[in-house]
Amino acid sequence: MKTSRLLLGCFALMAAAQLAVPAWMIVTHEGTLVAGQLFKFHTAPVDPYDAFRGRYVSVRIEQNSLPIPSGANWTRGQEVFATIVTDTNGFSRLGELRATPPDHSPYVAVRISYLYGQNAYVNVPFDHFYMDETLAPAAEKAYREHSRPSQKNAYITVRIRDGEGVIENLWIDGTPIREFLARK
Amino acid sequence: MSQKHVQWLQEELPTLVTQGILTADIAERVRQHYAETARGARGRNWAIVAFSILGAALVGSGIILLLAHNWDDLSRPLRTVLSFTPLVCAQAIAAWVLWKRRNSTAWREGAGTAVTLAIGATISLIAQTYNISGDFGRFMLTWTLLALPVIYLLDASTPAVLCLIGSTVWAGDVRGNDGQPLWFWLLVAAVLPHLLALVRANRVQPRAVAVCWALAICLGVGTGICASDMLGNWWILIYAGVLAAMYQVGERWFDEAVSWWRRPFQTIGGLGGFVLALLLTCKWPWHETTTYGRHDYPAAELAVAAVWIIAALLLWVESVAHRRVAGAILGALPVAAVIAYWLATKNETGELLATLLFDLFVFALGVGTLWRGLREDRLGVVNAGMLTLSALIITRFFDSDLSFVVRGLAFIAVGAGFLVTNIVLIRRKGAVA
Repeated sequence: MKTSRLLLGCFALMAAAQLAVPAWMIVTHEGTLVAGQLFKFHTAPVDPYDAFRGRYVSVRIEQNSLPIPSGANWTRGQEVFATIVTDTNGFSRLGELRATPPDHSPYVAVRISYLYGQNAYVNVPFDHFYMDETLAPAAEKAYREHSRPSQKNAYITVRIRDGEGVIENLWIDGTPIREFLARK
Repeated sequence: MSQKHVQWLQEELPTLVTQGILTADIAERVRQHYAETARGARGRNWAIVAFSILGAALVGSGIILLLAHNWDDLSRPLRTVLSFTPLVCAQAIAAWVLWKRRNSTAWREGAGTAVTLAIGATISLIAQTYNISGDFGRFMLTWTLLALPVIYLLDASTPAVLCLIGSTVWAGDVRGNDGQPLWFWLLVAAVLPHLLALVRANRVQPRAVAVCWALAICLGVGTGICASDMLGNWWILIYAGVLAAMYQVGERWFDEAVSWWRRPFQTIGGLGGFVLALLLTCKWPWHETTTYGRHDYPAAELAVAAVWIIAALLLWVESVAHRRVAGAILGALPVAAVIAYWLATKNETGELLATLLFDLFVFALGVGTLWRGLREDRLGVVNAGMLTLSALIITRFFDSDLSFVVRGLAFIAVGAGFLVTNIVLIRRKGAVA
């Protein structure tokens, strides 16, 4: 019986740890959605399918490379920080890369995908927008059509807090994607 | 009738015969009858275990697919609650199994499989709800680490197999992104105490065999992932160490298993060792060593390579001391690899000498296997030996400048050798029977 109790105690600890990890994911991302600063990013077209996590629209912000600061000795896969600047139209873009988070300007943590010449190509942590599997193909189509260089009226709104970004919505022609599809 | 009762009855039989209650003939028939009943019950037990694992895996996968539909109509809080449902349900079943059905392998395996799959499902569903980007490596590592305790708390082997696969997939992703997959070795080591406990209880039981297969395959793949990029041309040495160690561990501790599929370490180690040795009879691996060889390998990776080579050498000394022929020959693989590597780094003549050394090695492996097969009168082993020799001959004929006539005659000679040996052995067996 003693062993049983010990075993069940250990099991309870394990179960708590298994629940704590997804719970912590919720806490951090919910916090960012509630208290994060809102930014708008123009997007570029892409189209994958992830069988494991269901259907999503893969979104990519237009700009994915930035100059490497002089003297920086960075490697592929390294985490660095990109500042965010907003233009007069209200759209944002990545400003410059830094090894440490800036003190007073908004920033997002990015991972270096590869280095080419004087530029670092980075993976931005907001590139998946999940949707109902019946809506996702139509959403992808609409997204592709409206993120072409000739149209350029697809964008994402992202909440950012302490370097972490969470996509709030995907917009086509100034309308949230789900509303846009419902109207069609 | 339970196993315990059958054992009791079989122990009683000699007394009953001595006392004249049963004749020796009837006692023998009773013994045989209950031996067969016990065998049938064991088979049924494993079928129940297999079906419980399959059932849990199918239900778990079904729930993942159902929730992956991504119900847009549901609110975020409701989707969050739903995301936790598979994990909480699986954990509740596992807790009940620990409390009430701890002695049932079928329940433990089924519940362990369900919890392991549910961890992945819950993390995926939360990622889906919050549009979290796909860092696949981090996802696999988190999943594997959270599933590791399930192996020990539920004494379940399916989570062990899944953790081994998860570790290998994680290592592959990390390597693909130029990361450091050294933790792969620790993740694999974390499963070993469970395997040791299974082996101590019964080394040829299906659960032990399944974990051994997963371990042998994951080690084979994982070594390639960790060594090929991070250790440059040291892959020759580390692979030689891993495969030789694997084969010798199989021969030393699992040789009593009756069929090849119950001897995964020998099967993977033997086949892998043969393929590696054959590859090293060609010039290109050695040429690459001298042309692109690096000398700035990190200490931790060198240590991992050294551990495998030393382990293989220690096992080799043991194989030689106990005159285990196959282990003694295949166990010499890392020794030959180290000598050949040293020769190849000297100059072009060294490269040639390295290939010649491996020609000799594969030849010795073929002859040794052939001799063992003939001595033990095992046709399968004889053919394995002849296949080894044939592969060596064929490989040499492809990269030599000999005429088609000479090559043709050699192929006919090898083929005739095969046929004659098989006919002689089959006739000899027929005569014995």
